[in-house]
Parts: sequence; C-alpha cells; structure tokens
Amino acid sequence: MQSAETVEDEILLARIAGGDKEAMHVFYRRHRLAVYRFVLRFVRDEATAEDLANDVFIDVYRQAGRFEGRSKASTWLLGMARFKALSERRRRKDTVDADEALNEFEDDADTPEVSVQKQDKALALRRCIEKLSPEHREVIDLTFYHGKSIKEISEIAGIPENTVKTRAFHARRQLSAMMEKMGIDRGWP
Amino acid sequence: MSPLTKREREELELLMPWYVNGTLDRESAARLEAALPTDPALARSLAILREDQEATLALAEEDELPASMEQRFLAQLEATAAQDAQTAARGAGAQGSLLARLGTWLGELAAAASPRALAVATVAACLLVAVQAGVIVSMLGPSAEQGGFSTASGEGEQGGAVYLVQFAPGADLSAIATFLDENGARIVDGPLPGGMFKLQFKATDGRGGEELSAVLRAQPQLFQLVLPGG
Repeated sequence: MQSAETVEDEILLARIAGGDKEAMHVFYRRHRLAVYRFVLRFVRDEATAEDLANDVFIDVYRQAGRFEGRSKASTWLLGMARFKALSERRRRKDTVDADEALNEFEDDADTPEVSVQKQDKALALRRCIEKLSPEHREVIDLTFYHGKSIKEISEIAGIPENTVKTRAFHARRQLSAMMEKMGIDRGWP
Repeated sequence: MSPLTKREREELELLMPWYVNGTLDRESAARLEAALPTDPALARSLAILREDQEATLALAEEDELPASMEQRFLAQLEATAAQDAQTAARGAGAQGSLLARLGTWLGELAAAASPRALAVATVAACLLVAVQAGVIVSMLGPSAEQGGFSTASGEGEQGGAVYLVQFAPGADLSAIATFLDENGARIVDGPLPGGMFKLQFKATDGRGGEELSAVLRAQPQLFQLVLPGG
C-alpha cells in the first residue's frame, strides 16, 4: 500500500507533467534538502551541489511525464540526482577509492584536531563517515538518512541487491577500521 | 550460544542496516528479532548500527541549504518554462501546423475573453473584413459581383477556392478538423487581423463557389462569418 506522501508526490508529478509550475514549486520544497545533501556527498562542494540539485529539479519539470510510478518519486529523483552528480564528478576527475580515503585518514590521524575528537566518540564516528569512499558513503546515506530499502538503493545506484548488502557491510567494516586507528575499539566485527 | 548457523548469521548481519531503518521485510525482521536475545554479537552489531544511523543523521543536519538556492531555482524554472513555450511555438510554426495555431488561438480566446469582449471582437472583425472584402471585389471588377464566386474567392497556392472565415466562439477544434478533412480543405493562413483565418479548398474540388460558400455557411457552430478570401 502506498503512503500518503507517495500518492501526493505522484499527483504533483502528474500536475508538473501538465506544465504546472506551482506544483513544481511544492515538489521542489518537499525534496530539495534530500537532493542537495545527496549530491553534496558526491561533489563535496556546496556551490556545485546547489547548481546540480536545481538542475535535477529542472529535469523533473521537463521529464515528469516519463515518471511511471514503478518506484517512489523520491527514488526516481535520487536516481536522476546520482546520474548528474556522477557526471559532474567524472568531469572534474574527482574520484576517491576506499584505500585513498583510508590513506587520507591516516595522514592526518595525529593532528591535534583528531586528538580532540578522540575524546568524543560520536564526533569521531561522524568524522569517519565523512572519510568513507563515495560509494560506501552513498549506501550509508541512502540507508540511514534517506531511509531507502535494499531494492530502492539497488535502483538508485544501479547495482544488484546483493552488492547493496555487501557494500553496506564493507562500509561498516571500514568505519570500524578507521575508528580503531583513532584508538576506539567498536567491538565489531 | 547462538542457535544460528554461520551462514544464517552472516545473512542476518548483511540485512541489519535495513532492520534499523525500518524497511526490512517482515519475515527477515522476525528472524532477526528471534535471534537477537540469544546472540550477543548480533545484538552488539545492532547497537553499533544504531550509532552509525545517529551519526549519519547528525552529519546530514550539518549541511544546510544555501540561502539563494530556492530563488535561483524559481528564476531557472521561469526561464525554462518560457524557453520551452518558445521552442514549442517555433516547432508548430516549422511544421506549418496552422490547425495547431488555431487550437491555441481558440483556447486563448475562450479562456481570456468575456462574452462581451468576444462580441466586440466579432464586430471589429466584421468591419475589418467588410473593408477587406470590398477591396477584393472592387479589384476583381464587375464579373466578381455577378456571381463569379469562385473567381472572387481567389486562387490560392493550390489553385483551390479560398475563403476568409471567422470561427464561432467555442468551436470545437476536432469538429473543425473533421470538417476540413471531409471537405478536402485546409487552413493556409491565420490568425489574421480580426481573428480571421484563410481556408482553402482543393483545386480538384468540383463544387462551384456558391456551393462551397453554402457548405461553410451551413456550419454556424464552426463558422460565424464566411467571406470570399484573396
């Protein structure tokens, strides 16, 4: 059964497909924060994320008629946002793999800033999440911030469901490894 | 001691993030809930996942929307809508789809004009066309006035009879299209001043000028004014 929010989104998209700018504005206000934060993870630059997020909604205005309702509007939207963000990242050749992220983390592990963070486990954990590779960060964000299911993440990221599960698992392991380097044993795995 | 096999445990471990975010299917969630009380490692993993969730949400909250974002979007939306409308209009023009232009014109008229405004527009159109028709007739000379209607209606690009018509307020575009199709006619120009359109029959149409004029006048629901066109 569809949630009220999902139904409202579908009604808004139908109106947008008919050129209704007011409906577009309402849809924008409902989803702009999630889209902005999602693309920001990829491009790591606020001005670029702002431009990209707005461009995503312009695409929605022009392509709302193509939305078929097979997935939630928010899932469709994040899929579009991801495509745009990855294109931008490729354009800027700003790729970071997991090892690089860990190396980067090691490089500044002994700075005074990190020493302060050691006193605050929660803060340290946030710092570690920020240092995850974009692929690992994506699956963590989609799960915990966007509240997406395995199937929805599979659709958004264009990867098999099993890959979604293993990617989340590896992201968690990566977090534990980073925390351990900061002297915090999470007791897992 | 956990009653789970290693494989079952690994499977549940992989699914746990979605138990935490509430999207895990009922069956898997029930299996996990049954295993948790007897498996301290799994319970520890769950507690860590909740910490991860909390940290992820806290991190997201740190990123606020740029102040200018919404205003910039609205400006971009207006520009996009205007650009799309322009592109659509150009496309219609390029296709020579005068019928589409007629549809737009009828729609705009119906939406914008009050009955009084429509009446005023109609009178203005009549006056304008009367002058235009007078000029045409005078140019054609006496033969035109003597019933040479096909001559008076002029020869268009295809050589068929041409009429100036004013569509009736509320005329249905699909009914107009059907009429044109059934009579081998087409709209070749318009909207002209006064909301007139130029309508042309095929050169091969065997009907005489008076007959064609009568065909048009017999459709008052479509045409409120029919005049010979040039």
